[in-house]
Amino acid sequence: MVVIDAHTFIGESIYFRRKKFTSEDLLNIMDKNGVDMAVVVAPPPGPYYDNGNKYVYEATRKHDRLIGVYRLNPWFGDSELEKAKKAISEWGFKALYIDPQNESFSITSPVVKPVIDLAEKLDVPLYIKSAQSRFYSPEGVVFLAYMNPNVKFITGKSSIAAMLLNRSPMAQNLQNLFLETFPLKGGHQGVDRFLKHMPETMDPNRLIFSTQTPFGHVELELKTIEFTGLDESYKRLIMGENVKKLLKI
Amino acid sequence: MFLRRHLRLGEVVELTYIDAHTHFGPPGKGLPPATPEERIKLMNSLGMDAMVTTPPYSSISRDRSYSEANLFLLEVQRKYPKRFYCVARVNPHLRRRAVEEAEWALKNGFWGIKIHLRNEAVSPDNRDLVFPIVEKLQEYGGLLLLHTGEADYSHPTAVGYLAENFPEVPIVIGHLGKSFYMDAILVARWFDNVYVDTALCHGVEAIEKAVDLAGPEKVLYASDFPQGSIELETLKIKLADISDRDREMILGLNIKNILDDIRRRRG
Repeated sequence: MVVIDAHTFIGESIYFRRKKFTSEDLLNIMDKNGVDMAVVVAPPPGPYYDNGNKYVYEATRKHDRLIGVYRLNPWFGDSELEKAKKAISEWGFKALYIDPQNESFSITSPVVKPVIDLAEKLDVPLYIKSAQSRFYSPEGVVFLAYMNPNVKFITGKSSIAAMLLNRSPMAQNLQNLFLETFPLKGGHQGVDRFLKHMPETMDPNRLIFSTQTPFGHVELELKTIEFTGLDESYKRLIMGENVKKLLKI
Repeated sequence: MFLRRHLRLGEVVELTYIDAHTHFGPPGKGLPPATPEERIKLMNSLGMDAMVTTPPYSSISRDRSYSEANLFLLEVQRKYPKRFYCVARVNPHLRRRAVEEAEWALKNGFWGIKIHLRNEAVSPDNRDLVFPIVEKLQEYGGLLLLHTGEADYSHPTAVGYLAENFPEVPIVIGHLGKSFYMDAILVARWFDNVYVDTALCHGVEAIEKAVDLAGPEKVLYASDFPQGSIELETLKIKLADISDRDREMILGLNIKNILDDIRRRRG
C-alpha cells in the first residue's frame, strides 16, 4: 500500500515549535513511520510566501518523494496569480493553496474567485482551509464546490467537514469536494461515527490522508487510522491512491 | 503504550498512570465495557493504576437526573476503591434536588461532581444553578469536573468566574476547552485552583501549549473513555515535546495529588 501524506509544511515559521522544519526533518519522520511520499507547502503566517515557496520548490527538486503545492495570497492580485501560473506550468507544483484564516479573507470573498478561475484554467486542485469559523466554514467550501463544479477542492479539518457532509445532501453529491483526514480524532466524533460507517457516511474516493506535520503528528494519525479497522480497499484509497489520482502524481 | 517502569536519566521510575476523565454507566446505559471487572482487566493490560469516572449522558433517567447511574458508580467504587475514583454527575436544572444529590454523593465518598455544561445547557457562571452545587464541594471537599469546548454554555473562559468565587475547589476544565484551548490555558494559568484535562483535546500542540503556559502541574491526562481511546489519548502525551518529568506529572501524579489533597481535607 502506498502511503502519501497529502498535507505537510516545510520551511521556517514562527508558528513552528522549533522555528524551522526542514525537508530532511520531514523525510526522517516519513521514514520512521513508513510514509512513502508527502505533499509539502510553505507554512503560515504570510502574508509573503515567495521565500517559503522557493524552499518548497528546492526541496521537491532535491527529493522526488516530496510533491510541491503552491501557496499564494489572493490579496496580492494579478502579480501573485502570474507567479502561481508559472509555479504550476514551469516549476512542477501540483496544486494551489490558499488560507482564509492567515490571509484574513472570507471563504466566499470576491478575492477568492480569480484563484478558483486559475485553478480551473490550469486544471489543478485548490487546497483551502476550513474549520468552525465564520471566515472559513465547511459550509463555505461546500458552496464554492457547488458553484465551481470544474474545480477540485481539498479541505482540511475534515472531521468537522465530514459531520457536515453527513447532513448535507448537496455536499454528498459534490464529486469535486475532497476532505483531508487531519485531524482524525479518535473516539465517537471521528472514528466510530464516521470512518467505521463508510461508505454510508462518506464516499471513500473523496477522503485523503493528511497529518499537517509538524503541526500534526504522523504517528498519531496513522494509529488512529489503524484503530478504525477500515476495510483494506478503503484504506488503500484513503492512504494514497486518491491523492495520487487527484494531483496526477 | 507506556511501560509501567521506564528509564529517566539512568534511574528506573515507577510511573503513576491515572486517567482523569472517563465515563462509566450501568449496563445498557453506556458504551461497553459495562462491568468494573472488564475495565480492571483493560487497565491491567495497559498498566493503568486507576480511572476517575463519571456517568455518561446516555445514563440520564427520564426525570433528567443521573441518580441511578450515580448509585451504580457508588457500588463500583465501594467494591474497587483503589481502581475507580468516582465523580457523581448532577443536572443543575433540577435545582434543590441537584444540590441534595451532590451533598449525598460527597457524604458517601464520591471524589467530586461532574457538570456537563453543554448537555445540561448551563453556564458555569450561573449563580443560581451552579454555585449552590459548588458550595457543597467547598463544604465537603471534592473536585469539580466541567465539560468544556463549545461556544454555547461550555466556553472555558466562563469557568474563571466560578474559580474566582471558589478558590479552594479544584476545578478541571474538561477536554482542554477543545478548539478554545488557548482560553482554557489562560484560565488555568490565572487561577491556582484550575486544571485542564486532555480528553479528546484539540491535539498535541494544545498539550504542549498548556505545559508551556499554564505549567505541567496544571495538566491532567484523560481519555473520555469509552468515547475516546485510552491508547490514542495517551499517545498524544507521549508525542508532546515536553520533558519526561512533565509527562510523569501529567500521566498520573497531578491527579493523584488532587485526590490526595481531597483525602487529607476530609481527614
